[in-house]
Amino acid sequence: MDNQNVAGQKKDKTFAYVSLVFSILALILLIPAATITMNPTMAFAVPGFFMGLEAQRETKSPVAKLGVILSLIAFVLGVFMLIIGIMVISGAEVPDGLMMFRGL
Amino acid sequence: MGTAAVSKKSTGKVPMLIMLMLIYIVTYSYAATSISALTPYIASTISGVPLADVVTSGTQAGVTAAISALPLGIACFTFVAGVLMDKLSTRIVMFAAILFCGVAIFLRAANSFEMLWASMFLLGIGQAFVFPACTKVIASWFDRNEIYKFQGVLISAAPIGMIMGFNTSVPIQNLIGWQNIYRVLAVAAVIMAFVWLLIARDKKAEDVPLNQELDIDVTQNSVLANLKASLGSFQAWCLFLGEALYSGMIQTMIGLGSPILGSFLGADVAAGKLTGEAANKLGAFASSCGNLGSLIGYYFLPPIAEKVGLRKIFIWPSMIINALCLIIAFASGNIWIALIFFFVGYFFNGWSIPGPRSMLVESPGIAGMRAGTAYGVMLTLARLAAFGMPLLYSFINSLIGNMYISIMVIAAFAIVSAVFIMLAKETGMGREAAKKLQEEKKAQAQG
Repeated sequence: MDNQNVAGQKKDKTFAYVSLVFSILALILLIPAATITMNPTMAFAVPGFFMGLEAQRETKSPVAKLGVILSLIAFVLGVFMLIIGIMVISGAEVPDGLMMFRGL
Repeated sequence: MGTAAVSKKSTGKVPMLIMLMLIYIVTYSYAATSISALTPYIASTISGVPLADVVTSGTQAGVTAAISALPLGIACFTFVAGVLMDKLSTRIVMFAAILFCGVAIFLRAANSFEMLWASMFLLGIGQAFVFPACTKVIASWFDRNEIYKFQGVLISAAPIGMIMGFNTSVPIQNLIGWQNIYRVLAVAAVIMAFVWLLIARDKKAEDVPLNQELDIDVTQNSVLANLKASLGSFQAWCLFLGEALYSGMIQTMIGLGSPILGSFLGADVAAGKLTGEAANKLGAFASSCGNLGSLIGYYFLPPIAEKVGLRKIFIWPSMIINALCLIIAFASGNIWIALIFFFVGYFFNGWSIPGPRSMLVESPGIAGMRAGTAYGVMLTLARLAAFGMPLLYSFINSLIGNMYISIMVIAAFAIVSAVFIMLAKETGMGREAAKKLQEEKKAQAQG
């Protein structure tokens, strides 16, 4: 029953495309994330990652794979900037190299 | 079990889900949260008091009163909206509701406190229709084992919009002014209404997978029969009360969060540990921290329940864990500990918030056919609890004069909620069936 329903049907790639769009938005939002308010990056990176995984599992689409990778990069960079931001506002010593990165 | 394969195909349900998320963000979570962040600017424009003097002049009270009109509108109309949702076309009702929300958001740009209050109340009425419509769509289009997961995805639109609202509304206001933000949102809502009309479809009750699986008699879909099935079921009442008490507890804690964290930060500034500017930034970050925890939880916890095929065992413990985390956060007296426990506690919302809603539509006698009515009742009770529990907190606090004991009493309602969830019947399909379904899905993906 299940297999016959699958045959000849086009798989839905909406999640794959939305994942890619969300991951790009997350990366763009890293620019204002130079301040402490880095969470907008996370607001798109987390759903982008999940939807990419879901699409990857269902459709094996390369778009989904790209969405997953970009979302993951945005998430890691977002966490990185968060840590630096917290160090800055709590008055901790932040190495110059890290501060330059944050300024980007 | 045969209905499970429907989820794998291009049925149009995923675009509908994404559209619902966007509608939720634009018309509710962003529109509602941004007004909190923009309160001083709005108060300054309407009252004519300079921005620097707004806090001391007390003109913010008008905006704060207007914000309270939103949940009032939702509470007044959700029950009616839910009942109508099961009788009318979800596609058309949702279209009208989004247009209505667009008009309400547009009115917010007017220069008067009265109009601001009216626009928030009207937005609440629009939202009263949007929420049950979302649940109806999930219950009508998704398979039984997917409902929990996609309910989580849909609810994630709340923290996404809140995070965006808290963090982007002030910078955007500095660029284009707060009134233009709402004009743009209103136009976006109108466009979304027409896109929704184009992509959304209604599903006949007899074609809904959940109705088939739970063996619902689709001929018995009168308003009275739907109300009787929803209000006459012990299972539904366990879930109504579990959700309402938990929701009330969470709303009370959210209300207490800002003043308590503010007191921690004030103490740190007085002790010289933080500058005033740093305290402001930390306060802004703290408000987003819980939302970030929820956001991650909504995406990554329900799929675990989907794999295991059970619901209750995840929902009731997460309610208690969240309450414990909030107590520790408030009692810690330290901003960093509070932030960590906020994050962890709200992370567990990933199970506890979408859980009772999913169990409700998965319950025999409710299913997709009565999802609107049942969720209308659930949300009305939840809103009433959200109004009542902060009042109860104030009453207890004034009676015993100890804020932390009062917080613990309110947090104890999470235990009562957990008991109601324990009393409800398990609605998951079970470990064996879930495992079999996972294997089938894997085989289909490979084939």
